[in-house]
Amino acid sequence: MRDLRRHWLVTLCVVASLALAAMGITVVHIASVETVRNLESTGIRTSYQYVVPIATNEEKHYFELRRDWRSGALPTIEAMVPILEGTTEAEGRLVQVLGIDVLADTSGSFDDSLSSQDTGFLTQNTLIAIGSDWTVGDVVNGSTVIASTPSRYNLFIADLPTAQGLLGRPGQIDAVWMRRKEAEKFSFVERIWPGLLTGLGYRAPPLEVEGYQIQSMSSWNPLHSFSGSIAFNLSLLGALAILVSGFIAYEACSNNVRRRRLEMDRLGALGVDQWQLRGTFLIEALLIGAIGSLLGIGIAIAFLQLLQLVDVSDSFNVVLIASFKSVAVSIGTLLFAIHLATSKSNNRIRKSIYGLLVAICLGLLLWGAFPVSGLLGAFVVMVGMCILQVLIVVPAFVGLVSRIGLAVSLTRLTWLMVLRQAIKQFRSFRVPVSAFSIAIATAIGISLMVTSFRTNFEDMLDVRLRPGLHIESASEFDTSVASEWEAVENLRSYYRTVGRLAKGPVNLTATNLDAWETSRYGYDSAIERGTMINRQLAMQHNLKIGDALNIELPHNRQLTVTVVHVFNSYGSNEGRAIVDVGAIDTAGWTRDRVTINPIAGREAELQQRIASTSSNAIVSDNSERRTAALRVFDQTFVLTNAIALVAVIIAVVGLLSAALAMYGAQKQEFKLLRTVGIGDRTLVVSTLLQSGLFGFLACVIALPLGISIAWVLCEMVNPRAFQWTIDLHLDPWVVLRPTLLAFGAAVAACLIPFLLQRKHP
Amino acid sequence: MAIQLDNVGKRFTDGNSDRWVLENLSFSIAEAESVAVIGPSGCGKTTLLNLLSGQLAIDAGTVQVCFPGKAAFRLNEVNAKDLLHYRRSDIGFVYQFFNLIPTLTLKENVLLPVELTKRKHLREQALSRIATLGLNDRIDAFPEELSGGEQQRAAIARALAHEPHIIFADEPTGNLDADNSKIVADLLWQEVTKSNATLVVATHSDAILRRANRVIDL
Ligand SMILES: Nc1ncnc2c1ncn2[C@@H]1O[C@H](COP(=O)(O)OP(=O)(O)O)[C@@H](O)[C@H]1O
Ligand SMILES: [Mg+2]
Repeated sequence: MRDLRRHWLVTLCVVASLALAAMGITVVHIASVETVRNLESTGIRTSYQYVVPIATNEEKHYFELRRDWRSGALPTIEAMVPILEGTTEAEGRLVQVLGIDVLADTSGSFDDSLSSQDTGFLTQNTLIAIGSDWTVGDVVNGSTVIASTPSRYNLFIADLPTAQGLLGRPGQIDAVWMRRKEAEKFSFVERIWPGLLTGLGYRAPPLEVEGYQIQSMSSWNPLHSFSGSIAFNLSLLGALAILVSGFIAYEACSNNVRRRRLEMDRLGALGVDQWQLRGTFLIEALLIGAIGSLLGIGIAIAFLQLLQLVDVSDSFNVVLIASFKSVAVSIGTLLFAIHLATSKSNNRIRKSIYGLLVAICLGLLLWGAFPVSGLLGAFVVMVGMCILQVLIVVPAFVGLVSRIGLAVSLTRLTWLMVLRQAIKQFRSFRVPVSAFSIAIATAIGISLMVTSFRTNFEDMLDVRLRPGLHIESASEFDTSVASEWEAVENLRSYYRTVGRLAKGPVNLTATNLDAWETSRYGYDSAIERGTMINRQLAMQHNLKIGDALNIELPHNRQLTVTVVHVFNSYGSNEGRAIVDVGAIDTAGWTRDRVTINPIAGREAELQQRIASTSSNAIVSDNSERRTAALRVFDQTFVLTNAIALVAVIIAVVGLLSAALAMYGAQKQEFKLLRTVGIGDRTLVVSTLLQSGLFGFLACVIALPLGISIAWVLCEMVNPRAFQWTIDLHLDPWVVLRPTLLAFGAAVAACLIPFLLQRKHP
Repeated sequence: MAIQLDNVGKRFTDGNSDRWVLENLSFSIAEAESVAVIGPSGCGKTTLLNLLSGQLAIDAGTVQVCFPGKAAFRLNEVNAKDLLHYRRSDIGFVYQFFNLIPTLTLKENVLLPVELTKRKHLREQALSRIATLGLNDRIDAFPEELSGGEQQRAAIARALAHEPHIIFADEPTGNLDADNSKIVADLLWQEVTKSNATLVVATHSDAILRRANRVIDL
């Protein structure tokens, strides 16, 4: 303990780096869970993988399916529930209603905010209210709210009969939702690493039942894979943050351990028992690890709470998992550092390990460059690049800089000293500089990726989401009446079904493909006999413009169309083809979506009118949908910025602990410089210059990696995970902001030892 | 008279208690004299040298410094700027070890005081002293590439490069073996005598003691 106090600064650095590592992990975890949750109105939907639309709304189809399932026809299905969706008016507001037969699926594990117990309590005339407008005990249209969860969405979840009553549709259902047997396993994975499944491209395998069209839930809930994508990208950043913080915590720890080792040897020579020494050592390490990670978790929670990103108080489980993860990582790093620092190292073995690592990295990079390696390959490329940065790029750059530095001749010896000192520091800080550069690169890469994604997404929204109303679940909605309303300028119906291509099922949409409609997808003229497909379908089936598609439609019909356009869609990772409604017979198709362009200024009136005419239609305003989609991005921005900041802080603590390790030698040097007659002002200026040069070099080495990470994220990770590409926008400000921040922090980290010695000369 | 001490004292604070390391020290050192300061380890030799070279504040008494062609002044009264000038121009220093700036070559280390004092005319002389000290083939080496003896010889060249009035040497041979000690002591004396400087050297070494004009036992 006395020793801890004596070296309080070094110990502080170890604790701080562990704390920051823990903080990084906790923040990333909670943030990504929160992102997913924010994007989805309720987790109920995500616990089912298939949707069977019931076009006739008859409950008997559900019983039919259930009978088939009981007799073993659907062996991969664990549970199924009939559901009814619609909009009702409550206290002057339009609220979405989701009716679900809770007795049909008692094994349901919904998300954290809504457990199966909650839904289990639903009885006749009770509701669970999602959204901030209602509290427990309120009576809405004759039903009592028994639970409420705050959310941006307004949604009532009710027992099926209650919902039927609320919507005035007795005996009707809209769909049957089904859950796959492994869903439980998957939800566990999602809890540990949010977005991983989406990132790994997990898609429920197609399911076929005679007489029904079974669709994947993700094509009904496109935001799911979208939020998955963002969570996955965040997690990637998190993984890199873990890498960097582990690295730095390791550096700080092993510095400490090496110092302690000397002491151990000395005490050992005095006859103190080695095992006893090692024991105290371990206890001390665990103590530091525990303090560090607890501190980190605390800071993370305070940080998230302070930025008002997350209401941590109602996500206890999430915080718990995040804490577990971070404690595991910090203690693991610490033990690893102790192990490495106490075991004797052999130079030859080390060299061959180095060569082997480089060879493996290069091999993996090469493998990952081929698209067949899939998402794992892209992942490997990212990590491989970071490892190569440590093994090759930084050492090579350090070598180059040293050579240049030695070749430079400055007439003023004082400046020469500054230059050489900076280079020397750069050389001896190879490890922290590597970690620093990875952290900065990660910050740059992720910011660039998210900015580019947002630019692309906004461009897409600009053409795709025209002003107007969007009506979902519209099978009941009478378009012939609505098109007569005077507030309606333009009304469009969208039909969907699942067709078959040679390689598998395909989601089909049919609508009037006039020039107005095709322009939403970036095409310039009307389409009659052709089809527009999304990039996902093009990738999955290896299709290009001009290829002919032979689609098998319901009711044994055939459709042959030529691909005339491939469009980007960021909603879902499902393949989709759009055909002209004139080319098909709509029997066997569901009209699930209607869009209405109201005469300007009459949106609200129309919205009311639609809701009162058709109780099962879900109406939303496109401008609201646009705002909601972009809000997600802005939230993500705040998070990515926050995480990037954490990464930078971690990296700086790494530099600081390295600088403190050099403190002894530096102190002597300062003393010498003073005696030679170098004044205080010159010392301050030259230390500033030296730190500045060091920071500059450290940032320079981070830039290429940062841009490469952004490139890999845009061109490899996202296309392979979600089949969409993101055009990389090299926004200089986005690159500069983290770089400048890092530069300032690096300078500060290098200045601190100088300031310390000024205080205690 | 180069330096005159009157009742000089230095106090260090250990925790809460003050301790006088040097007390009532009075003596003077003449121009071009060589003085050896001896005494058991911990008696305050380094402290004394640091006081006289203006690196430590003087807690009691006065230290008067007087050089030819320059007004006499008291070290305990000068301002920071003059003190810096004193350290830079009037004195040279040789420590027991760690004398050279690691990022500069031997030659650059030696030339640094010449540059700092802007005495360009001393450049050639400084370079030729490197040769005299037998370091000509090590001129572009960095300190870490030099042996202990070479480092001390380079330190002597550096301490004398700007023709200071006084050289302070704190156990300059303390880190060397007997042979090297003798070589370094010889060269130190040879060069100091040649440049007519005053020498104050703290030492345990007989080789140095024997050559000193005077010995001060603390
Ligand atoms: N910065 C300091 N703070 C406290 N005590 C000091 C400091 N420097 C030296 N001392 C003490 O002053 C005494 C003299 O030290 P020093 O001058 O180094 O002795 P010498 O060089 O003769 O061996 C020693 O007891 C030492 O512990
Ligand atoms: Mg001493």
